Amino acid sequence: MKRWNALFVAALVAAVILSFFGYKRASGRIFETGTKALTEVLTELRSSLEKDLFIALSQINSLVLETPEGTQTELRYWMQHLLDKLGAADVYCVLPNGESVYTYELPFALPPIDERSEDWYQRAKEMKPGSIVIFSWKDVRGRYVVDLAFRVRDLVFRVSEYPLKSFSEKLANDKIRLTLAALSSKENVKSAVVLASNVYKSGAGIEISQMTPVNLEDVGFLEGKPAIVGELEPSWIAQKRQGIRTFWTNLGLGIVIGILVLWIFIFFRRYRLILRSPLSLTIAQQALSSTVAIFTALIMLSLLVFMLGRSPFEAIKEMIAWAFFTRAGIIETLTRSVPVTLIATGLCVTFEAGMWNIGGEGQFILGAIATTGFSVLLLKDWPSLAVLIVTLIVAALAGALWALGPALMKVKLGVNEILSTLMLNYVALKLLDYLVYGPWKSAKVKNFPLTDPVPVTLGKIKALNVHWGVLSIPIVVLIVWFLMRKAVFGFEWKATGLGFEAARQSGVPVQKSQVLALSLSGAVAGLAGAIHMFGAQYVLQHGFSPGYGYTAIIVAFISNLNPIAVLFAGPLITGLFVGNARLELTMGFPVSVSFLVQGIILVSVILIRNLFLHRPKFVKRGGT
Amino acid sequence: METVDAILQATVRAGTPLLYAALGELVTEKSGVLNLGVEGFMLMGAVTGFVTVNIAGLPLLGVVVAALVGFIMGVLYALLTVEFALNQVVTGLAFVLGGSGLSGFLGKAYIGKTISQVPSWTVPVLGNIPILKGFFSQDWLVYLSYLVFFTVWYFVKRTRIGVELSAVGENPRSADSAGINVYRYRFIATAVGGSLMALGGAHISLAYAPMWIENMTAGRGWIALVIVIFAFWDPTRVLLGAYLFGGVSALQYRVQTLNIEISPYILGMFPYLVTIGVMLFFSSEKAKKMLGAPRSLGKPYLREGEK
Amino acid sequence: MKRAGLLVAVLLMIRVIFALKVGFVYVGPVGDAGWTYAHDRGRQYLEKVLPTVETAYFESVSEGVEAAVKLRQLAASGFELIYATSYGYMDSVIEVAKEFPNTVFMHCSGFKRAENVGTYFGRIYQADFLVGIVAGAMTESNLIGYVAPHPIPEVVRGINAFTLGARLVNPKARVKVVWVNAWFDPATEKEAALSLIEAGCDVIAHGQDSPAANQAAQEKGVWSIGYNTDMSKFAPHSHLTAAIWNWGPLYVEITKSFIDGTWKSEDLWPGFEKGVVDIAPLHPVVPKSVVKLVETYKYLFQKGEYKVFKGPLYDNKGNLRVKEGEVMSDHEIWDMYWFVRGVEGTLPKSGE
Repeated sequence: MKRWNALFVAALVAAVILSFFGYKRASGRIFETGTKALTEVLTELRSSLEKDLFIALSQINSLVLETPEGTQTELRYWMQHLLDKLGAADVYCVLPNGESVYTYELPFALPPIDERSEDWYQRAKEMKPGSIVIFSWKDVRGRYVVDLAFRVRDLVFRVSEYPLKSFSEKLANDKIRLTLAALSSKENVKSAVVLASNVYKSGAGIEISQMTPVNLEDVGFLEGKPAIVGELEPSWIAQKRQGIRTFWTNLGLGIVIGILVLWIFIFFRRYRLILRSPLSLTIAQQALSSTVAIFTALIMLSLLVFMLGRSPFEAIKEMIAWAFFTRAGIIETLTRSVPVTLIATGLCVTFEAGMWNIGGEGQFILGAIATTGFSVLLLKDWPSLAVLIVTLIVAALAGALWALGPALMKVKLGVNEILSTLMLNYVALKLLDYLVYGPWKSAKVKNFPLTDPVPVTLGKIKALNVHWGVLSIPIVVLIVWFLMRKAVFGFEWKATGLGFEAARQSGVPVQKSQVLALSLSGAVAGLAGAIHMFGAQYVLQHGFSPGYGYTAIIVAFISNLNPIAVLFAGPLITGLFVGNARLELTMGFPVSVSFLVQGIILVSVILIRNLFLHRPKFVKRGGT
Repeated sequence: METVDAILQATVRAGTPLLYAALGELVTEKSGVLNLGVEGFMLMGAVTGFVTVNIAGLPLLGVVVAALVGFIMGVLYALLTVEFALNQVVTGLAFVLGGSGLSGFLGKAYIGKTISQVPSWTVPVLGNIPILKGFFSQDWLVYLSYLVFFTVWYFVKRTRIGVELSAVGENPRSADSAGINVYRYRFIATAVGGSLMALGGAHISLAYAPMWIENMTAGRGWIALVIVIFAFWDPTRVLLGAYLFGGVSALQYRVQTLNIEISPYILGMFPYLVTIGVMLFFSSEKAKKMLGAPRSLGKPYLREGEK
Repeated sequence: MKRAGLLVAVLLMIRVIFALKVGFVYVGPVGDAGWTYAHDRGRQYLEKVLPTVETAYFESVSEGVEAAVKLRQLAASGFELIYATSYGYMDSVIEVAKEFPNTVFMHCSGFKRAENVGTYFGRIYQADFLVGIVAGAMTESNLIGYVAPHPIPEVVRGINAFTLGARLVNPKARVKVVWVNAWFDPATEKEAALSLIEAGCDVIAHGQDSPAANQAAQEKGVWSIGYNTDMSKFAPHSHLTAAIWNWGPLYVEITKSFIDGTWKSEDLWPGFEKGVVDIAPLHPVVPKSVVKLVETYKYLFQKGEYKVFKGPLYDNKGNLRVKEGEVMSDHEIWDMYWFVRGVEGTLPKSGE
């Protein structure tokens, strides 16, 4: 085993070094060649463009002498001839009286248009015979085309979508994608330039055939001489650079992961993990485990931030400073922690009674639905205090009812409550959608899927700018704590949770206590829904809860099912998530990184807690 | 007849990702491990499969990589929940978060890219018979799902391994005392299940809608969980359930084109309500003995002697 | 006095040295290939054109309290101009704007304004009308399928304009609508599109964020029309054109007016004339005469000389909604919640 270990470590280090230096060298080299290639590419592009335009010019000029003077039919015939030669999409002619002549008969009645006031017409009109105006460009799926106009006597012709063949080819051959901002020339074709800008920064990694055209006025092109706008950074350089980077890093990472997996595999073949029976941790141990857990989570976060190329210290500083030490951050943390903490408090009860209520989300939404249903639609004319009190009770009842179903199914029929509560979440979400898109849609919001706002609001605590519903947290926590620790229910729940059979044999009404526990947590979640509606949300809308019920599960679990601990863990965990989201703004991380971090925080927290609880140790296989 | 064929074809197509994921969950749950992280597994399968095909151009390689990634995630999940006995509900939720986050992050550079789709193939004779046509003019991943189904069915129903797997899920203590290695069974079942879930995701990104968009599985992982319950942990019923759910989503639009006025939101509730109904219906003691949910589902196993 | 002058000078200097921070709040992930993606392209364009502007964004922000929280965070972190890009953010924007009177909020597709809250949107229905023309000209079965996300006025308006366009060139054309009830679910969208194709539709249009419906059309060999962005890459053989958003120029204009100090709270609802909406390049199979027609109408939209919703307009139950010679006001167009003649589909009833 010793020898193996040494070998593994050596391979690991080698892989890391390989990926690091490989990346360094490769990126440097590509960058140099890339910059050099850039100017060459640009020159070649320009000459191929000029070639294309010269072809167009000579084709037109070769035919100009034959321009008919007679009827529209003759004109049409001539234009068709030109069209064939140019290979463009369309040619049409604007007569001096403003009428247009097309190359074909139109089956539809076109609305009359007069293009004589248009810029392109004016410019073409002023043009010397034998030259052309290029006034717009298009990118048709990687094939670049321009619109041209020219003048023969008093007839002005417009050629649509003349294909820039060699230019497009050049681009395709070099695998370049760029945005043609404009091709323009006020004088003649020779001075046409490529105005190019890569709208996308390297690394955005998004390619589409039509990019946003740059408005010429915005870049100040029209005022002065033609110039190259913006930096031309063909994405192939970025791509190559990125390709090499991913290749080396992927190789290195692949080797690292492979070795680690092999290592773990061999380790587990030789050793066995033994979990010792859970101790009941003292308060101090619990606090210690939570602290270690949070620190581990932060270390994992730092590793991730480091891998993304940012400073971990700054990230953590930013997170904590924002979530707990700025006014706006504290508002954010507190506002979000109201529903989370309340639901978590309720969940403690169910978890203590040995049941898993995943349905906090659904019960929360149902509470909110009941709130709108009662306060907006039924109790409209009641005095506000009465509305408030009645609605809070009704919402709690609604939440309790939503949980009662799974509870009864569990105790009467043995249906797994994890799954039934989970499914009811989805039913609640669909019900919400049904109501806001259909019957409950407000008449005042121009058919948007929103309900009317609740008639009563909780108002805000002036100093904090957080609604008064915050105060419900300690109240609910105290009540739940009292029920769990001081009332007779609490002992029944605890007994049921510790051992269903044993509890039943010793005379605890296990079924009753389980139903009560699940309903109570539902009621608290429903109440949270009502408080959330009255305090901050006001109207029902699609997806108004970003998963508070699921975050609550995490909070309840981390606080070891102790409501008093929830009081602290709720804001703390919400704060961590809030701070984490802060990094999206300050460090430009995508939201997916936030999700990833939440997952990592979660796993490390419960892992650490379990390590404290079970004190695992490895023993050699076969020996015991 | 053609409409029926078309509906059947749509049903199978829409049901396949669900079938993979639900079979994966079934294998996992049979061993007594509850994996709520299906959505995360599917997304990771979808993104890694897509990225592989985009780089290498080989659909087959994409499928293999997706399965492998699912396997690795499964191993990780098993390590946490089986070896370290972490709470399975919370770990599952963490895997949903982590899977959707990591997949979104890995896929950032591949949004808007295209790939060569997993090819379709019509089985020569079977593909021309009405009714059967729906099942045998599909893409290769669908045929693979038939194979996977029969394998799972065979192992669960017809072999010693299946019996021992159920025993591990039912009562790990007595299984252990009968000399079955509970940990090994749970470990392997979770890993294999993980790779099947990832295949379900890969079917969406490689064959069904060949592209990568963040969160493209759109909650199918949760439906897969529902199907397993609906099927009461029986592979054949999982097959039926997956196609039933696929059929509902396929039929929904055909009903809409008939101008029947039911709110689609209400229609959307049906799968869940039906499943709850099925759970109620099949949960009498007698039925339970016959069908049986793994009794120690979601409970980590700690050996007596190791206390 | 001197001091005050100095202070002003310092403040001005700070304004010059420190870039203007512009924040964006998106409802979906930037990688949704649709709505949010189009907005993010606008943001990137803004950064490109106005280099002194610094931008940042929050993605996947759900509507409701979450949005208020994120808006507040942006405002508190020194972002002076904030774009909120989903209608569901409406109340949150108003609420937060009250707390930060010195920050300017621009809310996309809403209608509530305040002293420091303006609204903006694009007349995408003009582009819908144009792609409708293409669809109407290309259909042979006279049946066009439309995969629709959610029954809200914005979507209904688009379907109506699309239908009017199709029936302009093909009075027999009918548009079949199915609701997916999601902005974003590729597999389901594809299934919905396939069901429409089976029902006999030979052109598929959609209002979704993903190109799944286009892919379905390509597989079945029928034409399709994209939405939000050019989706031709996903279905090169089937994609006729797409109604697309081009937010960049509008963002530049608004931001410039903010920098110049000429910004005021108003409702901006530009269309082709500002280039906010456009159509993707047409597929080569589209006949030249149709191209010409589309170009002509595009030209008229640019000049502001054509109105899509003008009488006589009948709803799909046969009632006359707009009389001959009348033009629907912006206000009426804004909360349009009925289908024009030629649409086959139902809208969920509102409980009013």
